[in-house]
This record gives sequence, structure tokens and C-alpha cells, in this order.
Amino acid sequence: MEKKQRELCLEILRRFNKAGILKDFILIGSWSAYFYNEYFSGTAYLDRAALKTRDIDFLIHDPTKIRHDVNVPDLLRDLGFVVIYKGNKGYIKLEHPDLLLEFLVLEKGMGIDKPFPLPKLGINAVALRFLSFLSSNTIKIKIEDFYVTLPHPANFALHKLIIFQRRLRQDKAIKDKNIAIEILKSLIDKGETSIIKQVFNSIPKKWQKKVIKGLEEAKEKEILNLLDKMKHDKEI
Amino acid sequence: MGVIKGVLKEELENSRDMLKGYDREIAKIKGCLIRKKIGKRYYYYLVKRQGKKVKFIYKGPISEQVKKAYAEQRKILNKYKKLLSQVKDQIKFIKRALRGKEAA
Repeated sequence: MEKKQRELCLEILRRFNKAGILKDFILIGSWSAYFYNEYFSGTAYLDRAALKTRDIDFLIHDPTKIRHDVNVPDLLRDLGFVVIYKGNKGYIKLEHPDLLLEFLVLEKGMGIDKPFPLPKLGINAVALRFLSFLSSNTIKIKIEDFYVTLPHPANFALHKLIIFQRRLRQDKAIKDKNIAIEILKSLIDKGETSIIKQVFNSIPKKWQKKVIKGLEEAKEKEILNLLDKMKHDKEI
Repeated sequence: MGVIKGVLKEELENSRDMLKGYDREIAKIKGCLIRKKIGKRYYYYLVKRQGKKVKFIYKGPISEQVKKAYAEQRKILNKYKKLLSQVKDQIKFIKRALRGKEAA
């Protein structure tokens, strides 16, 4: 990854931290795979499977808990970020030649097909399904003098295994599948197979089926064997 | 489509949106403040391009705060111009890369 890109990412995190809003965000997407390097230190983990786009996705688990009024576009303006309205619905993305910032919230109930307004932050967010799985189990990684919240790698990987099957674009699906397998293997290397199993057992059966299907598709017998084979056999 | 080409296509689309974004932001910044020395005194003008012409609009005495705001605006304008040229280079690069063949 380019040093410039990493530096810019760190500067964004520093500013969010200083403004008091970093604690409201969970860093998801391929950038969390980069920050997992810290979590997997001592193992062979390399975020080589995460072919990164420039997107940084921030998940806001509970928008009602945002206490600080911080206009995010203004906060990042001098770094060169511009507000871009995507599609005819006007989803906001903050864009810079090196990085693109997007904000996400959990889709609840019937779902909404328009941007979710975040007036305190001067932006809006995209509401997506399955994100609660990422926010339900998180870890904190220390960066400089502050902490950034990431989904637990097991949740991240299993989530990717679920969504890669829903992707319309094949290239994105392959990317998701690769990073999921890489992270699951690293967790096994780290001796955290029980966590994978625990997270797997905590998700609805429908999702479990999807995970199994994803692993079967990826022909990952080693990981499949780790999961509850009995349950799997019953379902088949 | 291969993974790399897929990512590049997405990036091309992003860069094109960004190009429009920077053009829009640059157009929003209306003029720069300049200082002219006439005789022994300094006079401030707002310099604006209007079509082919460059107009100098006399601003009269201005406060330090306004001067600072214009200086800040100038800094952002320069930054946007630099990033705009970076985006243009990125578009050229991605287009070139998309013409190449990707190993299966």
C-alpha cells in the first residue's frame, strides 16, 4: 500500500479521534484487513488477499449515540476531500484521489432505499443488511495514542463469506471470498479456532448455511471441518 | 471480468466522479484576493475570471479576518488544482491499464 494513502488514512483517524467521533465508528471493509496486521502480529498474516480499492467504510452502529456536532466534510476539507453525491438518491461520499470515505448504518425492518441522514456529522449514510454481524463483536486496535474499532476478524471473515454470494459483480465476489479465507486461516494459525466456531454458532441457521455454502464453493475443507460438521450434515 | 480489471473499472468511475467534484469546487471559489501597491499605500482587489476577461474588483479596506479567509481559500484552491491534475493522471493511467490483458 502506498505510504501516502496510509498516511492520509491515519490523518483521518487522528482528526476523527480529536473531534471525538472516532468512538462512534467501526472501520469496516478492506481497510480493516490492513489494520488486522496488528491483531495477527506473530502469525503469517499478510493482507495480501485484500486487493484494496480506495474506499474506507465507516459503520455507525448507533447514530443516536453521536454526541458531538462535527461537520465531517469541513473537518477534512483542507486535506482535499470533496463531497460527491452518488446516484440519483444523493448518497454522500467524501473523495480524494488517494481515498474515498463512505458511511454505513445498519438496515433495520423493511429497509430504506434512500440515504440515512446524519445531520450531526453533515453527511448521510448507506443502510445495508447484515452489518449488525460486524458490529456485534468488535476489537480495538491501538494506533499511535488512540484506538480504532474493527469488527472481530472472525465476524469479518464470516460476513464476507455470506455477502460474497450475494454480490452481483464476480470480481467483487472473488475479492471477498479471498480475504475471508485468508483471515480464517490466520485465525486458525493464531490458535483461535474456538472463536470461529463460537461466532459461527452465534449466527442464525440461515446464515450458517450460507457460510457453509461459501466454504464449499471455495473448497476449504480444513475450515469446513472446523465448523459444526454434525449440524452441517443434518442440514444437508 | 478479472478481479483486477473489476477493481480498476470501479476506480475509473470513482475518479471520473471526483474530476467533476473538483471542477465544481474550483468553480465555487470565486476569485483571489491580491494586494497592489499604489504610491505608498496598499490596496486590495478581488481578481476574478469572467469568461475570457480577468476582472479586478476593488475591495476597499479589509479586516485581517477577511484576509485570512481569502488566504485559506487560496490554499484550498491550490490544493484542489493539484489534486485535480492527480485525478486526471489517474484516469489516464487506469484507462491504459484497462486496455491491457489480465491473466486468468
